[in-house]
Amino acid sequence: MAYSLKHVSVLIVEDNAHMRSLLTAMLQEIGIQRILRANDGVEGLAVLGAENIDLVICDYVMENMNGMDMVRTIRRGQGAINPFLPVIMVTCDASRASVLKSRDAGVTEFLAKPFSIAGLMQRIEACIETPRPFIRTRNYVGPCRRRQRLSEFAGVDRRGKTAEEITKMAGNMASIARIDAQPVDFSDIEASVKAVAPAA
Amino acid sequence: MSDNNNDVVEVLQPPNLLKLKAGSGGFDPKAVLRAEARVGELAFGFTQWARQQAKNIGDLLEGLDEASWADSPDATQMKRMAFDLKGQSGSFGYPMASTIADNLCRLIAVPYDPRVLSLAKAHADTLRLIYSKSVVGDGGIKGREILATLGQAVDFFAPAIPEPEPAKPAEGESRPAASAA
Repeated sequence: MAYSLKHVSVLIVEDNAHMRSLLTAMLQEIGIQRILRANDGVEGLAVLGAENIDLVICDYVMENMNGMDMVRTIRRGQGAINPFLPVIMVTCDASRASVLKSRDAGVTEFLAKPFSIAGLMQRIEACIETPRPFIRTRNYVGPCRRRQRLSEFAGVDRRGKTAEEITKMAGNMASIARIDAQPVDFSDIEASVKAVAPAA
Repeated sequence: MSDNNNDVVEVLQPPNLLKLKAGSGGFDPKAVLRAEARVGELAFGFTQWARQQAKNIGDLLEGLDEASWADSPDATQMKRMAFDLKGQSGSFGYPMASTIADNLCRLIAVPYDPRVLSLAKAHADTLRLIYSKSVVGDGGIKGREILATLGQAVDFFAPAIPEPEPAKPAEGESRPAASAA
């Protein structure tokens, strides 16, 4: 028996219409029926204050309020917002600095763009199955930033099963990334690149 | 952010509301195939939009010079468009375009050089070609060749900079099972 996600509410905070559509379509196909959308962090916080949301998927770079500031506000527990909400941060800046900034803002999971349906499902599953305890210090509020396994852990090992499933999903995704049979002539571009770059 | 190791570390175990609603059993394996099909449907609209974005990037590059390269509304707009194409193309079946747009993001972060500008224009041309010819995947042999050529040129002008070591979280965070709220 698979997850029952029809009562799960997800908020997508993303300023690009194509990405909002993509995320909405992916979430709908995995069974999530209640999907709310916001264009930036300010709108996102307004939705969180008014609606019962179980999971937030937000972009990093947005006008008005970016994803980082939005997550910090969530973790402070402003108004009626649940400070323990799982938040998946999606961004095309997958540099170590960016990942660490997201971690230190209190992000639950990080997903680099461009992402696949398998990658998105893996992050959602991590939020469902392996939530980390929350840490509150003088400088930080959010999920525990250390992810190493505890040697005394005696519970059910769900990770092996998940990895196997994700590998299978990744195999299915390969069908999307097919190589187009249509030949394309890049010779003009190659010539112009070689003209300006001695190293090339 | 770096925490002082003498700080008080409070460990809380909030209820897992998501798990309570979702239950067990993982995702329906057929959902992946359904989602792939939906992405394929959305890819048409994305391709049209991306083709226009690539054209706009090319047009903006034509108008940039030494004075406007680093800091001007046109440069900012172009960077944003390149950033968007980098982040989205791969999800819609255009991983090659994501790599090209990533190259472009690296190039426009380096100081002005007429050769860099020419190289950036070559990237914009490549993007336009990819979307207009619907070059999905890695573009085959020709695609891999042009990626290698462009990659070498970008490495020459914008070499990757090693990133600094991260700050460590508070010591108490390494013992999450020690207490619970």
